[in-house]
Amino acid sequence: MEAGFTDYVTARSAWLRKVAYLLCGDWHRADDLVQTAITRLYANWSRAARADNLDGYARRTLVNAYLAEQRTSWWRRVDLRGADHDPPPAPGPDVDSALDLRAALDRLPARQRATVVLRYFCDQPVADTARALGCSEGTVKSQTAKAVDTLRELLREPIWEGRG
Amino acid sequence: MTDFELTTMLKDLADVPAPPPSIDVDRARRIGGRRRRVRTTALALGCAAVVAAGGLTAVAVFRHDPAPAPAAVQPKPKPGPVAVAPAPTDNPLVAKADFGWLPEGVSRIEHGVGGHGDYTLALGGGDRAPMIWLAVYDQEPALDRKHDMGGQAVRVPVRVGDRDGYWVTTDAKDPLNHGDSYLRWPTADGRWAELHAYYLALPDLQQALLRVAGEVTFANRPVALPLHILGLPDTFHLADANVWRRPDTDGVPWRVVLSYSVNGALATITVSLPGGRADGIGDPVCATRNGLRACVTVDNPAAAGLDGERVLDRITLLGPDESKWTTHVVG
Repeated sequence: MEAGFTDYVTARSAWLRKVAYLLCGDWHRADDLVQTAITRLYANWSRAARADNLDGYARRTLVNAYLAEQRTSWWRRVDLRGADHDPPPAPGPDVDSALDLRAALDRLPARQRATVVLRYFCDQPVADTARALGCSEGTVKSQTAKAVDTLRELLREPIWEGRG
Repeated sequence: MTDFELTTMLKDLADVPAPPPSIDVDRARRIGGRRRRVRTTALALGCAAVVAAGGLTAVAVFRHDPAPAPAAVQPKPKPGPVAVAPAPTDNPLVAKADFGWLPEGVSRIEHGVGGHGDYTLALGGGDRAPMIWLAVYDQEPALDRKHDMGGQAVRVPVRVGDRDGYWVTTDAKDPLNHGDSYLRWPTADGRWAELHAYYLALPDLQQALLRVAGEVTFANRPVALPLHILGLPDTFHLADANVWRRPDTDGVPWRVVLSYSVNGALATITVSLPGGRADGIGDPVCATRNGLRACVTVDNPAAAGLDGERVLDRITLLGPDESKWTTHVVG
């Protein structure tokens, strides 16, 4: 069991880190998210290791960690006024389209952002995205459409819709 | 930009230079293992308690002498289930519960059924609008029903009105779960209600949420909507129905969105004041009548068996005065 977990994390942590970075837009937060996700993965490893799709299980754990963090991190800022809550350093000037995209992703609501990352980066079909987010396929489709509309507006270039 | 180009841009963004990773596998094993042991121990203790209770019951059943009455604790008579009227079939949006008292500034009420469960939502304004989600479940939900508490979810018992409820939290010392708060209690008809609140900054949040919960009422109440749809084909199966009240982001005071799955296609009807955005996939077909705008998208008309125009023809708009909206929407 120990070896299986270590082997998996060693092999897939770079990929999980990229998914986490696209979800939150900051490498340090991405590391925290991956740390949270792999901790949960280990706590549930006996079930995870039996999953048909271990990457899917890990991805769902990561997305859930991200969505939960969105809410509780706000509370820490309110609850610990004056304590350790310095804002993250401002990003440097966005000099290429990838960084423009990061700025645009920052403007999406958390669930829409997760939908875009799962559908377009992880190449997940609607059904698997719905399972990962715990919602209906119709919701995934409408969230994807809203997110693409917003990205199109922010990037000021049409995104041709073709994903069903 | 095509789907492929968006995918490429995301991959480019994920490949930008990054600082060295600080992921600690040993730490994950240590903390994850501890959580697993705690869970296993709790499970074993729970099983032991059940076995012990079963043993006592067996002894009581087979003994010849009548068992002595319990010394102090008398079981409370449980009230019988209170029947709730069945949900109407001519309205896609039926609220299972309604709020009574709400904190100041959290006054907009949304309803939804489908993808995010069936809910009534009270929300405020701003970027991080305070939200109180109210949902009713036929059975008591799993403790960590969203699977985002990392195996650390615990119950903190609390009295909700005249019922024994509980908070769900990852920290027994903080029933509010660091601001992402869950409060559950059994309803009179044997179901379970849940409040899920966040972005809510109040001086005494626990008492406020208990008061909100204490004044919730339960009934299948059809939500009045601003449209009537004549003769919707049987092949249309509701995927999501929502009343949104997000003027900050939508630019209009409210929008009503009904999404239907039709033979694998997605048909979406959006009604709002003129200027509202149309949901759905594909180019919307829109019409403005009686002071409201209705838009329909059908992502695959061939599969759906009719296009947006044909769906739009079946819609009557009832105007912006909410007192004139109807609860008899389909038929």
